[in-house]
Amino acid sequence: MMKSFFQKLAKLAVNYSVGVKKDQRVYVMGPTLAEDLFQAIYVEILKAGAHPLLIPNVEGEEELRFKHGSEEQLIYIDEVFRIIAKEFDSLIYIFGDYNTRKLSLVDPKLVAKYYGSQTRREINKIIDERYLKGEYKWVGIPYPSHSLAQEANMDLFSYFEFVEKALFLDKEDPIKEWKIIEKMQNSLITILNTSEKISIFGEDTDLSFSVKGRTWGNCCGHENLPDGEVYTSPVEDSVNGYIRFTYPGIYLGHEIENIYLEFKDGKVIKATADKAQDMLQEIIAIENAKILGEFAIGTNYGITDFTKNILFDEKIGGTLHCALGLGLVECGGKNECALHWDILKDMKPSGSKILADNKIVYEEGRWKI
Amino acid sequence: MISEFYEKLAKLAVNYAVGVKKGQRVAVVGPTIAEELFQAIYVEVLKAGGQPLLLPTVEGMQELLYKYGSEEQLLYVDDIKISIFKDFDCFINIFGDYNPKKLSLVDPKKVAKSRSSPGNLEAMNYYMERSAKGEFNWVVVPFPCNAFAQEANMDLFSYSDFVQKALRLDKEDPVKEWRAVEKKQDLIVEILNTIDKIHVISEDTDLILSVKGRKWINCCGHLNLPDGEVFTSPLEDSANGHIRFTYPGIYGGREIENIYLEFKNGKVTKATASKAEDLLHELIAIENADILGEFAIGTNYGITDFTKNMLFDEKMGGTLHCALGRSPPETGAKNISAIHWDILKDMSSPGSKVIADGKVIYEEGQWKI
Repeated sequence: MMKSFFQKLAKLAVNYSVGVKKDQRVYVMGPTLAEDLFQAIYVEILKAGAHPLLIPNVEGEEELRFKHGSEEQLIYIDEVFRIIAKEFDSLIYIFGDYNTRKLSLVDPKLVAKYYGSQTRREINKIIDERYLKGEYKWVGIPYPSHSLAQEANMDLFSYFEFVEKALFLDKEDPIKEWKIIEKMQNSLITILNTSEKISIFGEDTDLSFSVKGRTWGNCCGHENLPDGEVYTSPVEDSVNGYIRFTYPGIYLGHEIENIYLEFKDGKVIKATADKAQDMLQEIIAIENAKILGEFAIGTNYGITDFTKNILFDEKIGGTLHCALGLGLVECGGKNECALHWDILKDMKPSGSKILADNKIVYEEGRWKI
Repeated sequence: MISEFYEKLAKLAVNYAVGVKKGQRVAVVGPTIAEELFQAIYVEVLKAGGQPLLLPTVEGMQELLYKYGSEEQLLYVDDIKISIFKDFDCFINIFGDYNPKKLSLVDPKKVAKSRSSPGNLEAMNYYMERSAKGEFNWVVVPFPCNAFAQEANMDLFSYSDFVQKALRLDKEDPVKEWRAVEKKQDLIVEILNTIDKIHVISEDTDLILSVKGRKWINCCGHLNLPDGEVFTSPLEDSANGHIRFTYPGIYGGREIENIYLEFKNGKVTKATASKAEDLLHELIAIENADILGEFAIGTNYGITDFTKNMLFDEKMGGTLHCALGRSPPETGAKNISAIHWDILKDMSSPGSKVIADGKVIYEEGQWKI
């Protein structure tokens, strides 16, 4: 079972997600524990006639860097990674972990420095620019591991099945399934792209904002696996009203429960939570993190469990999510922020609905268009 | 926690062998099975103020490339790899394997072609040039693994003890031990550098070489760990006489036993073996492989077992080894060949001696100078 899992996942990532072509240079990164997935991807890239470069991360690299590195060493990123960003054709990023809490004891300020270093920003900028021009394709794919199963309160074998369903690897031809989603969502966003105003109603929720002039993105397995969402960036100063999120927001391994936000003219003016309220305040104190950078609807009905892994959670069919902070340039979003923090709301309970220009487009977890 | 064995080995490699300095870029390569050693080296490089780049090789990469790669893919070497030899200051090569016979079923011509691809030759040239100029410090360090233990007919725990002794990691301060070796061998090399003629006498052996004008090299842990040898290259047309080697010569995983060679004016005129003699003849037929490229004496008395691993075997105290083919240029020698193939002879047996300009300098496995 596992062998066919990795083979199918590799084929999906290589042939569908990034669509590797002959002679291309493909960079594959991820943890060493994902060795069998690395191997499967390596074979598919070779079969596609391209040149794979595998650079696995040794277990402990990040935490040892924080423990033993000087500040200079901490923010150092070798030039080879800039060259890869500049010259390679695609990136396959394997998400897997041996311990999701490995940075819990590190000072969050140091973590912010590490992720927000000048070099990292420069490299990300190169990637973003080339990505927008279609010169650099990338996809994040999951590697089922004990630690992710542990976060999800599952055993590894059930977790494998969960991932399999979420990616349609249980179907004979997963690529075909994702192509169907691509097509279906294309018709959805064609309609959404003509809408100006979005209103959301639900428990403790009455929120509206403008999406005029913004475009909607179709997430159908090209950048993320699993995938299944449509998203946009609201007009920055247009958000008004309030919203209660049903799932905990997760920040640096901490859970913030029962988050409630009030917006006025685009900015958060009130924020409460049942647990870790102080952390929520810290988050919105970050420059431009009071602004809604993203509004999205999850469309993957193969994902039925909340597993504290945003790569899966934000795609759950019947949920919406908002992100505080960084807006999405590809949608026309303008907000700049060091943070892009997603929080989820279940939209299945009775009375939950989304209106586009005063017409119901989504109700109790299902599309009405 | 990183075990003491790896910590000591990492310190020896980082602080003594390559001598990492602040700000230097240090590439570390090796198999993913060596994860714990990667971690230990990572910490020591950070402590030394260097910038480590860990490049573990995913299990199966080589064999999968031969299985699925086109000729173009086999010959492809990414610029990122060349950059390691061109731009980095230090290079630590972890030598370990999960299966040393993994390429046994691959056509040797294919392997040779891939290894001598333009990209690999370019990398090799940078490596030679920059190491000769002292701009590129590199070392090979062993990772005790089951595959090597298996080749040595040992269990992993006994093999680890064997490695520990060979590298002096059982001593409190291995760096100090290797410094002592360095100093002692400097004296030996100083004397040998004044010698014109070497005469080896032993069982079935009476071989005369000229080393006039050639330089002897002191191997004391800067390029190899374990280490312990002094070597030079004889004048290409000077070897006369015969020699019987007591250990099997190993080529491409095959063993050639009881090798006997006769030389006349530098060239092999007769070559016999009791096993795989045909392979021996094939080797000698390679261009310039009938010339002695190296003559060396192993000085590491911590290595007492022949383990079919040249990194260890050639250093055994009380042995000498000769290499057919390419000569190391640092000795002043000029023989160019596609191979450099080492074969070993025990010199501790009664009557064995090395005579330099008519004076016994080595007898029954021990120096007499």
